[in-house]
Amino acid sequence: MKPMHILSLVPLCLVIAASSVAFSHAVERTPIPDAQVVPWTEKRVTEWEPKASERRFDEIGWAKDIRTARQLAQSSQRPVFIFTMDGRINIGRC
Amino acid sequence: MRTGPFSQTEVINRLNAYFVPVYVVNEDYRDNGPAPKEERAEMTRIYREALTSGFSAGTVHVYLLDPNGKTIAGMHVAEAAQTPKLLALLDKWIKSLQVKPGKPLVAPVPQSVAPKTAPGTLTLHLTARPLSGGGSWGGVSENWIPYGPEEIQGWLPTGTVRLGQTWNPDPALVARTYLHIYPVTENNDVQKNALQEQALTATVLSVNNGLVRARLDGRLRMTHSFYQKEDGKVVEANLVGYIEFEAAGGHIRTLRLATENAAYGGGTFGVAIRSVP
Repeated sequence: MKPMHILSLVPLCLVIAASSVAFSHAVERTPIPDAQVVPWTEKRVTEWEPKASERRFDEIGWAKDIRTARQLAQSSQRPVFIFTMDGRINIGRC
Repeated sequence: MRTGPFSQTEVINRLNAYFVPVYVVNEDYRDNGPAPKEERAEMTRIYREALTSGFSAGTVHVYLLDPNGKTIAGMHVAEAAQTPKLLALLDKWIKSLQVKPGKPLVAPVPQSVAPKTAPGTLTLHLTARPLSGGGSWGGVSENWIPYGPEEIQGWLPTGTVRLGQTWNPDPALVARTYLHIYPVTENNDVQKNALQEQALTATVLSVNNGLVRARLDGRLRMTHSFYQKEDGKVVEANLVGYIEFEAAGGHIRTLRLATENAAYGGGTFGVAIRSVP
């Protein structure tokens, strides 16, 4: 899998320009008025938190470890499905 | 995989009805990881059995075992991430082993949950998601960041609180959260992230019936490589939020932060942080 890099899609000069825009957005800032801080923050936190559709991973009945999975497999005569990864797939950091 | 095949109804249904699914975090099985030696031995056996059987094998992989534990298939994540290929593998073995469908053998439960902590702990939940322009993987990532009871005071001002008062929460405590402010990438070793610039200022907006509300304004600049190898990429973000706490006793009721125009790798992303519950 490859990340959504734009580097391979556009000339380098455009990449530099786009990066500069993104950078300047992070640097330049018009302070949010005091009265707007709470609703502004709440709106973003609500919008950006994981949606149920982004946690469908939780709909799978995962065994807690390989040995438990093997015991269940033997008693139920089902095969074991193992996914191994670096990082933590349960929090999307992998 | 979490927001790819593992979010597809066909895959979820196959795994629940025909298999005993389990996922393995490699870090838990290496060096000082918490996995017991019997677990490590079993993972090693499966890996070696796949190799000697001529199956695909590696650290980021799908393996299938028959009901007696024999390794019968391996698939690299690059292939398994393609739902049709993963479904084809599952269906092949469902048919071959003549597996009868049934209910999940383990009840599905939330897999991303707050860690168990001592009473009085402040736990922050952080969500990161891409917004525009690329530079990161798709999907959403999360972190849970606990602060023990003895650390709470470090978030708060000292002395009598007054309107308009400003203070800076303990930078060491703030850094523990800031190190997780990056989009979805391959590199999740936060010890490799380096904060080049960090700030967080609190300003008291109101004091009502002993409840203090202060706005939070923050900023960070942090190196974060997309892969494990150093690539010089940098996270830039401003943050805005608020904290509410009891003036007497210093109990934090609410803490919220959200990024404002966070940038990484030529794209933008958003991070939302909230105290739980």
